[in-house]
Amino acid sequence: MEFLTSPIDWWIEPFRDNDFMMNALIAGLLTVVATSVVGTWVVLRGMSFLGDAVAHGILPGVAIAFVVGVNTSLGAFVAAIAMVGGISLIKNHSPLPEDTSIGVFFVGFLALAVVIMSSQSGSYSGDLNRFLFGSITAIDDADLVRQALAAAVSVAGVVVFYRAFLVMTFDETQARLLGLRPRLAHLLLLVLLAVAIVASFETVGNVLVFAFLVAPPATATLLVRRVPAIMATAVGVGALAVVVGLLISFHHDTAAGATMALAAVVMFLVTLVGQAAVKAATTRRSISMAH
Amino acid sequence: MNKLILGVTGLLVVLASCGSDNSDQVAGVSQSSGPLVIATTTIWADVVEQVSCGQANVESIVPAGSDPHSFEPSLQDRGRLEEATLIIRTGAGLEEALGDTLDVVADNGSPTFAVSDHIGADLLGDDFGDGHQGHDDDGHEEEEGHEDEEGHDDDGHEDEGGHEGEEGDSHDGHKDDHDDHAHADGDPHFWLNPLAVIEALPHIAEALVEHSGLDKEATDECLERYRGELEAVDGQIIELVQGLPVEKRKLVTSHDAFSYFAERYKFDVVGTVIPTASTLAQPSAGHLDELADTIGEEQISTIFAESQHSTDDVDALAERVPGVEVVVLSVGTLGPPGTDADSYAGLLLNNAELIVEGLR
Repeated sequence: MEFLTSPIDWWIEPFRDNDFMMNALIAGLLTVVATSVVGTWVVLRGMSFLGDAVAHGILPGVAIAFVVGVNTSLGAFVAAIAMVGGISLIKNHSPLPEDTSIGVFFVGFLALAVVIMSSQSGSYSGDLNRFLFGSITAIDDADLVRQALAAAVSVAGVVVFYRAFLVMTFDETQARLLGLRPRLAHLLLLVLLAVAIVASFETVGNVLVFAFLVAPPATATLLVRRVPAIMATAVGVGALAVVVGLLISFHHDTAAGATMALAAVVMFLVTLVGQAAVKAATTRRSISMAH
Repeated sequence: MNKLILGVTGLLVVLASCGSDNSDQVAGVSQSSGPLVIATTTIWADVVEQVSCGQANVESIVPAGSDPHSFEPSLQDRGRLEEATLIIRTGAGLEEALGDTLDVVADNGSPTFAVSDHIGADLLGDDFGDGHQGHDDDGHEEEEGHEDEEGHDDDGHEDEGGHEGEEGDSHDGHKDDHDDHAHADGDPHFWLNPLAVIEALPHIAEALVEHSGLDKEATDECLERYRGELEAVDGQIIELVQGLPVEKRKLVTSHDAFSYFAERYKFDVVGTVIPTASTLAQPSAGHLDELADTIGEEQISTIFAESQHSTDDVDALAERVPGVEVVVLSVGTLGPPGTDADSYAGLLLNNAELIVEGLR
């Protein structure tokens, strides 16, 4: 209960007294901005499975980059684009539903990463671990710059293509009639998705970036209706999850990345339950009033 | 809807209680006062404790029983690192998930001491060339050889790039598959050879005096006493191993961890279940088949798992060869207090006893 009894010690001091907490906070908030604005479309368009697949699909790129010795972010981005391209190709040229092609690529890419790592006999490749969970405890200036760039690109992309994304999400035929080229818009959205994921996997890790892509926008859709409001609320919800997650990790010695993701998911569940409880209460009241 | 509410509330209660449990225990805090020294693993924490004999407050980041390869630090750990007067890490790539954090802390100016930096090239790394004698050699008269190699430090580091090519040559006497599994550039578990740690002890003591302000005389005294203890343990292990016929000194372990032990005590690492040190790697069916055949051919009676890893893969391998037992060794972390492996010296001796007993 310390967070209630001595709020300044619990909420403010860790950030004020520790540079690493401040760095982690900034990196976390930038991650939230990038993932929330893109994640809103992911949630509204029902693309969560694709988001999950891309988050895992970067692994073979990371593995190859690691083995060859080039920049892992570059490898991750190439792999994400290859996966997105492959999925679209199969979707457009086969009668199979999209989730099947996503599933095939998801498994294929994950397996490829494991095979690549297994073939590296004798070398010390356990470093991949840190891409699964990230290292928000080790944020330096280069990380902050990369994260800020990704947030800027994501926000700019979403603002510029707002109309195209909006119409495509709610009425694909209409989008085509308006000359908004829904297929191109879809691909653009996927590129933004790749940017958000690749920028974030070194901070929160590629398993947990998916939590930030889906949980805050999902929470926001429960609370508000209009798309810009959903994005703003998602950023707020995600930011709260970052702050609470970091503080719990700081005060209670829990793994940082996972605690933030858990906070985001718990906030979604609390919102869901709170809403259900409110609805149940109002229904009961209206029933008793009717009697 | 009511069920949903109940379910989620239940989940939240469980989460909340996990949280409060955690807050009650502060991990790895020893009661002694004095300047804070943080070691990454419980093994280095024990070594530092011995060298400082109570003058410092020694804590470990990776708790006992956890795998140092994959441990992810909390922000509290990050804060403790920041407060430490000295940070002792294994180096050599062991602390993978923790490595980034340690690098950033070091860049920020916290004094950091990587034990692997202070161990001669003949003990660390893949240069088994000069000091290496055929595994069939019975004697352990290697000690003299090690002493005059302390000065080779620099040469060893410079050649690092060229070792891969040489490895085949210097391993003439070995089986072919040795090249696949000998960890050479992969195995950071050098502390399984006590001579490596003995070599690093004076440097650890020096760092403790310099950065943590420990009393030099008292520390040197502790250092000498501990050096004696480790040398005695080394002697005991040699004696134990001499009771084991040369043709039985063959190790099959779960991952790349015993090359330093094998090098010191004249064992042959016949194979490892997980072919690389990566946690994402899996053993291939062909590899396991080959390994099972080798175990049968070499008539190996016991294969070894590690306390901080799942024993599934090793158990499965043992099941394929009739009569093979699995024994669990401590590698990256000390055993719980009160067990034979609850100190570094105890861990060394206990492993050796289990290995010799198992292979006899």
